[in-house]
Amino acid sequence: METYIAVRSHGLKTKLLTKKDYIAIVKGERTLTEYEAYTSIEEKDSLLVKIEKVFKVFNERLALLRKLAGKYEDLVCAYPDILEVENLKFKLREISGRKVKPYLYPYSHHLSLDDIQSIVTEGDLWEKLSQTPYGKGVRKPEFITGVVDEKEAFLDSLYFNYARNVFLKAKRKYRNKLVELLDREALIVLIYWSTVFKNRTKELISKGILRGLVPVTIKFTEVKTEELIKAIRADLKEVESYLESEEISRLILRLKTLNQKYYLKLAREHPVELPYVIYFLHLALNEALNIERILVGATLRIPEEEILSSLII
Amino acid sequence: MVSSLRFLPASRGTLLKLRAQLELVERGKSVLEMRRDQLIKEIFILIDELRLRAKVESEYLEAIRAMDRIRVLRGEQDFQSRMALVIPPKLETVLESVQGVAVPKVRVISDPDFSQILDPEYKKALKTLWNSLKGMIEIANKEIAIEKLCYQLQYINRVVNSLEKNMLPELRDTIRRIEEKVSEEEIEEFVRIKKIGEE
Repeated sequence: METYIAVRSHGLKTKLLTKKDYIAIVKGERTLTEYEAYTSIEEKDSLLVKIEKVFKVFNERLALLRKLAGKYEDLVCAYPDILEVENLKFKLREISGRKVKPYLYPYSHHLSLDDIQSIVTEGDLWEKLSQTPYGKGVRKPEFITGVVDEKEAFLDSLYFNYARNVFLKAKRKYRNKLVELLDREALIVLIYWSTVFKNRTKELISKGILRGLVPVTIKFTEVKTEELIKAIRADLKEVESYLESEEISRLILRLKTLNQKYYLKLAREHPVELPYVIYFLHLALNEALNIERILVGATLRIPEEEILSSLII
Repeated sequence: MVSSLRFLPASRGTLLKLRAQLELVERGKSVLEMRRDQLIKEIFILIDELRLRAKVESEYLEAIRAMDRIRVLRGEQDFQSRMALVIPPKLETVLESVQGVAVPKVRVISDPDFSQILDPEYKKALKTLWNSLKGMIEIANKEIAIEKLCYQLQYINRVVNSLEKNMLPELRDTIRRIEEKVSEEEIEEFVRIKKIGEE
């Protein structure tokens, strides 16, 4: 079965957009609807509807693999489950903010979208979360600042803790590699939160709020953004300007782009096993995110070069 | 239009009344001219301040662009849900007197609250955007003040012109006419009394 879903992933990968396709779409030489997977998108659709349709394509691709995955379903879903956690973050912002109903990614695994939309209070959210693998057996920590970001960081921490536990159930021959890959993702998220919480990051880790983001396979000397960047083996000089100008989005984009090679390496080492499926899901999710960036960029009339530079290809 | 001044009786009393009226109109005209100068001065000061418009506008556009860039990189859902955390500013429109002219003005009662946003990039972009937007509001207030002052200036100009071109010449003519008539009547009276004395 594992080989079969990996082979199907190879097949699905051929349908993903290439760099050439992205350039053609951004330059307006081709429209998104010309691609078979995205024919359902109509010009008259609003931006949010278009984005929803894009993520539905990702969902359909995943659904096929999930159907075939059998006992590997949790392993297949662990990576895209980040979207579910993102939905929870959006809900949390709704509760803490102006009660504007959020737009959610059309993805669900442990919590249905109706479940998430039915959450009214923060207490409800933690209660619902405790019934899922993300929060099962985890005690809600005492938040220090009480701001939404701290709670969002805790959600990220829960996700990586959960995904790590799922990946630990994978076959021994690639288990550690998968965990390392996840650790790299967690480290990028920790870098992000370190730019937000600055000196308090260490305290948040010790209080258990960011503990899930601390990688187990990657060591770092100090909980400081610069040290964390060094730990991920990124060139600090290259990203220093982003840190100085507080261009956090660009910094994270750069780190994620650098991370691509680790996915590719893993996929090459295990071309007909679960890591390849994870690699494919990573590419498919990136495609959805890239198209979202293109759609938003086109709506806001961002220059082509700038849109292209915001894509992870 | 035939002025009612034509039908006034040529008497010493009328003459005195008309002289008083002329003095009042001349004084009124000079007051209006002073007010006109004052308005022009105020308009020039405001126009001078409007020179900042290009700078404020470019700052505003740059702030919007920075926000757009974040929106592209973070995604629409993230952007929209994060914006739900910002408590919007409170604004009100009030009427303010500028040189005695009622001018509508947008006043910021409270700044937006970004305290729920810790992300340094979002925070910086939002603060920059709000500051530039405040600059734009100030510019809009000045523009509307100039517009209202210009309307007032136009009105005062019309009144001064009307006084200068119509009312004052007419009053002066009437006074001269009545003065001539009164003086003729005085000579006539003098001659008549002289003749009676000789007889």
